[in-house]
Amino acid sequence: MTHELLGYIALFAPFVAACVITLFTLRSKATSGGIALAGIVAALVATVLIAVDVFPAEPTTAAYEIEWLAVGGVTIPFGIQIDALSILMSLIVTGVGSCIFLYSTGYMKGEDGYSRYFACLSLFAFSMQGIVFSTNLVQTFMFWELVGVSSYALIGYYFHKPAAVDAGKKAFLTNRIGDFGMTVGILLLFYTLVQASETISGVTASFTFDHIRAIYQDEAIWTQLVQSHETALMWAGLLIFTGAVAKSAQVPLHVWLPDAMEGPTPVSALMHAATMVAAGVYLVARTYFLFAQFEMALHIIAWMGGITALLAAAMAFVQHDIKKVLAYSTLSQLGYMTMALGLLSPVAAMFHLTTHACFKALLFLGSGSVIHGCHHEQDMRQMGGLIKKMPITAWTFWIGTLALAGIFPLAGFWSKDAILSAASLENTWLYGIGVLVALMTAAYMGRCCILTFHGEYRGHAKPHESPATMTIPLVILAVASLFAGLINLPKGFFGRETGGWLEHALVGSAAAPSWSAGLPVEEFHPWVAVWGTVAALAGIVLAVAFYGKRWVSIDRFVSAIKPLHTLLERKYFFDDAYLWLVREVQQRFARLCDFVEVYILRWLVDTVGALHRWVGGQVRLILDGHLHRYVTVALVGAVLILSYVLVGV
Amino acid sequence: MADITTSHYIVLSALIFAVGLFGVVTRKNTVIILMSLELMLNGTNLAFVAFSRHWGNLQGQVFTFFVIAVAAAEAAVALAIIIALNRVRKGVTLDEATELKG
Repeated sequence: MTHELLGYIALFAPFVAACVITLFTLRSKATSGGIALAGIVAALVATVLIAVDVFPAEPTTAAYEIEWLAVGGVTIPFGIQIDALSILMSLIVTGVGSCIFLYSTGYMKGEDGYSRYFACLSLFAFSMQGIVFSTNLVQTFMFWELVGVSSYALIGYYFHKPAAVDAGKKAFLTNRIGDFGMTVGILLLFYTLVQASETISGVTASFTFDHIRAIYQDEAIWTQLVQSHETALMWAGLLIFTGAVAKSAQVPLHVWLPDAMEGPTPVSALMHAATMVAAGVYLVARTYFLFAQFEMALHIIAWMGGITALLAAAMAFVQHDIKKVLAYSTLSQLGYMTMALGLLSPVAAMFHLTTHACFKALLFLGSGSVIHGCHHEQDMRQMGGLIKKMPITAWTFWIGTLALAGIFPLAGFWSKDAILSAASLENTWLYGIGVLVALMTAAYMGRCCILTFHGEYRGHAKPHESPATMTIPLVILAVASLFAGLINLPKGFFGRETGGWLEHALVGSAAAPSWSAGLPVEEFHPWVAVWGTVAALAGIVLAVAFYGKRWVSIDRFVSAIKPLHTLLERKYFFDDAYLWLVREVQQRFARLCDFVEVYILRWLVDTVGALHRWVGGQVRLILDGHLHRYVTVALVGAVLILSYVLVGV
Repeated sequence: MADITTSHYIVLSALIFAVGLFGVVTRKNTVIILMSLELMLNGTNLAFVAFSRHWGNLQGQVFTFFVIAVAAAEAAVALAIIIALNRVRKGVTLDEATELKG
């Protein structure tokens, strides 16, 4: 089969599953789960079939497009972009997705709305695949919104719980802010290209990635373009980046992600850890040519990522809900990826995205298994000692933790090292933040593991190991977390002469897919690796000191840093600030608008209406139903008209 | 005896029309009003025929036939309305029939 056909299968198989479930099998739970699983596995198989062709070959890019919308002189295509980047991302989405779909059939057993859950999950997989395979900005935006909708539906899955409904709304509204920026960015980019096409030969306006990239990477055109439109192009890039800021939950639009944990745990694993929140990183990687030339934009992106990584990691320490710890950890790791994007290392970002998808999905599914085993208890203070009751969950969770902490030779070590290497070359401050975050990551994950699996059991339920449908995905993902790092062993590691396999696939040649050519190749820096590992080990030692052996009293430590602790518990007052903004500023503005509408605009309109009614009232006095008067009026009228026509009076 | 010119016919036609109009405006009995209306129509018919003779063509006479035909139809409808009015109001005067009040 051709790549085009396989690509369409990978895109539409989950959509077909969603339609079939919604239309036919809402009542039959087992069938719905089976159809959804079949859909995602079909997409996975199609992706793998393309991957075996694409990855061994020299890097190329191909866009199979059909004309979709033609308005005036603008045509917007719909199509499938096949290159290493999209196939890698699709492998993550469908691979991790398949594990999570399988897990869900066990986890969601006995829930109301089981079929609805799988329909929404399939719709999400379709939307995500749409972003992955998109060939142009409009298609991306369309699926971007679809992802937002399915995310909303799944966060609010337990719609009888007000907290879940609020969380869904919050996620949707926060994402709308980013989407608005993205819309403006796309239009600004298009408008600028239209403007430029009038003066610079070789420039034509388009939404298609390959087309815009060709313009950006043609040196002769670019020199002219940047002279006349530099500011507009930079702002277009940054505005498109705001879409990524919201979707990938970067400060200050990160507030929705922790709340999104109200959704079912597999949803958190698939969407709010492994794939959907990575869409922002993917978008920036896909459109990297928009940013690569602007140092200012790269600085903003890098610092936003670094700050997010640091702030979120600190917040993870004060959480008691096991899922919330993982949520803040996700924020922090997304910050890492964004930081890498800003440090001219999109390969490192995509690499970390890949490994993170494996071990964070593993951790979330592990936490789901714990929650399931403890009868829907999420508070770590009510857990402890679970390693004896649920060994598979505990061991796989530890593997995920060590991978996340970046312990050699697990997946996280390699990807984190790639980011830290890039940071050490580009920006010392961000490198410092990166190492600090590595330490904090190891520490809070150690705390989480120790509180959950070690010590004495503090809860009241009877914990038990989860069924095989849930543990099999855990084991698969644990194996992936162990070995995913091998896809990108860095140049210089034990005398390797070339960059990693992923590096080659993504930027190996000048015709590399959608990337700016001439990016620095990742190299292995022994000292960076050493310091990264030391930081991770120190973090784990700290966690053991505080929570395992209790060498230091936590209460006394907390009271010693009381203001900081409050700051963290209140989430840096972000939520309060936004609430204040809505209540005090936006509400007052709304009142003003209301006043203007009611007392000025409506008064004007009402007055016009009242005038007409008054005139009509006066006129109808003549028409009292007496035919004689009607005739008289008609007569007078006729005489007047006649005298005007005949005499001209 | 002096010749009867077109002007004579037009004056007569105007007089008949005015009589009819006077009846329509002043009378209360619907049957009388109907008769007055017919007078008005026939006043105009006379003018049509007079002009037809004056110009030496048949257009005015043809129009007259149409007016007579429409007048017959109108009379039939009007009489039906008057009968209906008589049934409802027990009378044919216009004083009480003010349902058209706007």
